[in-house]
Amino acid sequence: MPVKLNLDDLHQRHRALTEPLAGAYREAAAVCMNRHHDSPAEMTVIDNGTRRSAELSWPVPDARMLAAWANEIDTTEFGAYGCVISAVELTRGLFAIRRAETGTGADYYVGRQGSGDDLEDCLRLEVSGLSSGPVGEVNRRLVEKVSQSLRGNSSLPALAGVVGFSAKMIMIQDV
Amino acid sequence: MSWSAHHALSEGFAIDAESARRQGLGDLSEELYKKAANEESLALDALTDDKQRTLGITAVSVVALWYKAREFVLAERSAHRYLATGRIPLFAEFQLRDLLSSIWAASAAEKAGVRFVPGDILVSVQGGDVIHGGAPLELILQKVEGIQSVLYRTVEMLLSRPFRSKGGPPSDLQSMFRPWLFQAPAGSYQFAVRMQEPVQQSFWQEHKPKINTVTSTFFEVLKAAATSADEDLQSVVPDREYRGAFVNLTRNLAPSGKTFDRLEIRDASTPSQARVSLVADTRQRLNAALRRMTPRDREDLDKQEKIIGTLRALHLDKDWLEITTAENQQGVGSNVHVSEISEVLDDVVGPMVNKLVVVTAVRRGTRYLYRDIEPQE
Repeated sequence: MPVKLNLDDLHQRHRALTEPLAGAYREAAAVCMNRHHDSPAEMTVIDNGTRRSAELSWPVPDARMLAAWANEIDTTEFGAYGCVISAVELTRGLFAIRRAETGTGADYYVGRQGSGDDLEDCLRLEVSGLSSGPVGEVNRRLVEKVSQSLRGNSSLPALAGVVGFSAKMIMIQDV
Repeated sequence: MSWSAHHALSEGFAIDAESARRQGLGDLSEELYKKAANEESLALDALTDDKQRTLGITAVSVVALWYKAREFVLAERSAHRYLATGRIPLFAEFQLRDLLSSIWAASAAEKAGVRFVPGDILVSVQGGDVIHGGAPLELILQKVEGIQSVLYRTVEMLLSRPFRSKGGPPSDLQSMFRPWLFQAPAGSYQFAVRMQEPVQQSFWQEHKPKINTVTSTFFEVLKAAATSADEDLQSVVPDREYRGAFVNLTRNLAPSGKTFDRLEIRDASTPSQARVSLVADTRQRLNAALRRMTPRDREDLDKQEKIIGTLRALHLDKDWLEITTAENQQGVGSNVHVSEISEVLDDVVGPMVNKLVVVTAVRRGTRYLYRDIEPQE
């Protein structure tokens, strides 16, 4: 039995996610995956170079859902958050416990379940996604994310995660 | 109440505010951001000095929330207050300074009564000679001019203006729609561009829905040109002449790989996702697309020559341009006169004057006949 990437009920495990937001991430991931694959699909998850396979299943989007997620950029961004947060849960047992605003968006902070009374031991999560593009492009984006993170927040430990929806790959790396 | 309790409330308000903003509910979004900022301020007050990392992240969050609520005075005061304490960790100091520059730009625009069409364009140039926060001036000037040209062409297309084959943008559009340049947080080298709304709103009211889509159409056009100049671009830009202009202008933005490696264009509201990514391969693909748009017979292709030199003179009305090639061993450069340049567009060739260019031409007897021109980095 392959392990599973679980997009269901993310808000019940990840305290930084509200129910509507968790639902939006799941729907967006479904639309992104559905562009290229049938559910379920076997994803390759590479965490700090360690490779494993994981099954990802999603509801087939209906016309209403596709219309609601017509904006490719927003959909890719939301879908990426859903997939990377699930992958970090799977490979590291870490959860999105807090969220904090920045000038251009918001950052998630991941930590052990039950933590989050402060952010002292949390890791900042940098997320990115590619709707299309080969495996090499996912890797290139990860390198870019890691270097961006090192430049911008040198004293904040972080994790970078990139999902390639067409490549069926999620890459995670410590920064 | 603890940091945790106040921060949780702030998170909830901020998530709802972002959702309202995405739905176009600007006023509601700002109200929710204000509530989030208030709660985040209380969360910060509840922290002790030993929680350095939490302190830094929360301070940035407070300022960002006031900024998103468009409460620029409160945002600025908070940033200065936190910076002045000397308790803020270094990573947060950097972020607060970046935020201050964004706050000042937004506040100055608001005070001047300048309104912008929806959407900020964030342009970043990376690799090669570009360093973090700095880039060769000439390179940036060229790219700024290139972005401006694409924006004006986008406005003209949206307003169904006849295709402009000569001259700059029409004077009414130039006076009514002004692209502005803003500094952006240093990436490799980044700048932000926003398009000012027409001042005489009533005169442009009938075009308002189209004007509001200038930035989103700009993204669509560039993305389609960069990824599929034949198919996707045709659906975004049905007019063949406009299509040719956009492909030419996009090629001028793309790197050849000598001075820089990559130009990315992002929507500032979702900066983690590049909307358009231009690399050296893109330039090759656009060259191929341009060749397909203007098919030539085999004999013509076989006779094409590349002339590299400085574009020293240009007369579009009289149909010629002149290139001064590199100096020979005697220190003398030769001038090459190229004619039949009727398909050249002002905004494509204008930024290349007195710059190194590559001209593709066909030699017929003593004459060179124009086929293509592109900047040489």
